[in-house]
Amino acid sequence: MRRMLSFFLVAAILATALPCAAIRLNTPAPDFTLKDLQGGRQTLSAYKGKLVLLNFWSTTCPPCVQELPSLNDLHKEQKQAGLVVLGIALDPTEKPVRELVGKLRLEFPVMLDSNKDVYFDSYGLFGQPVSVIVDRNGLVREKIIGAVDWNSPQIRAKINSYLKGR
Amino acid sequence: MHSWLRFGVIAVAALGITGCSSGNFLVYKDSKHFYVTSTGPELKRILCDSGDMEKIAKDSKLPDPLQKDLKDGICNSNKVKERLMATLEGMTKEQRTALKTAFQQNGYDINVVANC
Repeated sequence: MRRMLSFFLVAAILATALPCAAIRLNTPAPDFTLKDLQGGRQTLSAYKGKLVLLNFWSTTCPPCVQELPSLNDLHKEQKQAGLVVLGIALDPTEKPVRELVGKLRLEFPVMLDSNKDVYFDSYGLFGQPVSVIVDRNGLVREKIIGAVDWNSPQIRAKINSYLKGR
Repeated sequence: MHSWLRFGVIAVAALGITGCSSGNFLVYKDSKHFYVTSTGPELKRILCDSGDMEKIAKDSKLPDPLQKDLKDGICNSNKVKERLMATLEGMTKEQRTALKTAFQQNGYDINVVANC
């Protein structure tokens, strides 16, 4: 009995100590803290209990820019229902990001991940734009590669379903 | 004729939209970007034949078998995209940091989208 208990104890320690590979569906989203354009800090774990949509983009990526207005609409319409949209720009400098955010009047928080510490190192993502949906329990539920119309009925239904705790 | 024209426009537009956004690994140097999964001659010349990939792998100080997998995955003429992507995704956060830093130390940036 004691041997079995020790085995489970060692296994549990090993499991928690194992380094994480790229994000996988239905596993916890790696936590991160990034500086936003307002000078504040955004930490993913601070939004536990909310549905979080992480959108990785850059100003030099036309499909990324194209989907931002509909993402902004989604943010405005669903924030009361518990949706948090976090934009993570991968540009090397803040200036073009700030300009575009102003031009498109984006209302959701936008952060800068110039060194791609979150995008590449932690999340192991490729391509742009790429969006990650993290459910209210902090689990990765979707990885969406490429631009989408966030106003489309299919996407709205998907988001609503996660908001209702599918 | 009109339907063909419409198809052509949609196809070109679709290519334009997906061109930058495929889940692929890009490296960027001297204002040009390359998909590392590409079998094109330019990627081979710049990243492989130049010895850069050899140096990047060495500088990363990753375990030897992983260095070999990455070099083969990027420079081997029989490379398989899915295998390389699986290798990259299977790496730990610290290993991806080491690889990214090694690329940067050798004048490359990764996953920068430009000139799309």
